[in-house]
Amino acid sequence: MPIENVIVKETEFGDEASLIERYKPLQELPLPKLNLKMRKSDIRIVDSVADQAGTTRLQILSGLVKEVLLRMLKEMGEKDRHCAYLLAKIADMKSGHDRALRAGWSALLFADDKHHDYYWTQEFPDDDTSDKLSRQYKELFARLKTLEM
Amino acid sequence: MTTTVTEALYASLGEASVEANPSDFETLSLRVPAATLSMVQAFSLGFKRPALSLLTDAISQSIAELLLSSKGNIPLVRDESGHGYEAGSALSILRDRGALLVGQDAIWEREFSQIEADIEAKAKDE
Repeated sequence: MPIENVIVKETEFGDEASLIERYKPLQELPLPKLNLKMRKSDIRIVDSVADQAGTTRLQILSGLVKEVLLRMLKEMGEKDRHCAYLLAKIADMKSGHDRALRAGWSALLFADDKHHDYYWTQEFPDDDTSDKLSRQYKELFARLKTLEM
Repeated sequence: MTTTVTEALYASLGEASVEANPSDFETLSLRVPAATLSMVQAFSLGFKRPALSLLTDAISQSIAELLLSSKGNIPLVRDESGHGYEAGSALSILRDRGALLVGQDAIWEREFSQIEADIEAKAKDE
């Protein structure tokens, strides 16, 4: 039975992202372009695989690029986790991911939600005197803070 | 000793990148998710490497590892190596690792295998 005279009290609701905003696909615009320099024989191999597997060059390369980037990020994390977290968080922020979505590069780096949440609530440490941060981290931070977000 | 992609990137923080032969390369334009592009931009800016060539070596390395991961890729490697390959490419990495023999190396390997087979056959006969 329909209910008439409904009042929703605005003061009882918070200011976080709505369910629609939260679950809206990130990409509604056309996918951005990435120009990629590849060795000709590598392209030939990809094309041959695409042809024989019944898929496209784009499909294969798109997956390959993502795998390579994740591997680079994880390798970096093994050497200096702060550098890897910094890159992941900045890339996620730039591409519109946020903490609530638990998606993107940061989520791929973290094994559990607890660490992921802790990490997202931290400001980027940029204290030059901190002994915990490597020289590489400080150099990376100085360069990446200029990336538009 | 293996040098990881990241070690090379770290080293590049203080060094100029090596120029390669332009005719070995082709530039492709791909439509990728925003997250992929953002990470390329972050690596590029962070390590002062051109976004265009940031992944070139890593992709060659990755293709080489994928090829080596299955014997089912042998026909593909055989076919593609016949067309030639560039320094640093996936096939070149396979050659460096001893998985691909070309030219005189291939002739010697074939002859050596034949000699081994002959010796084994002779030993069985005796």
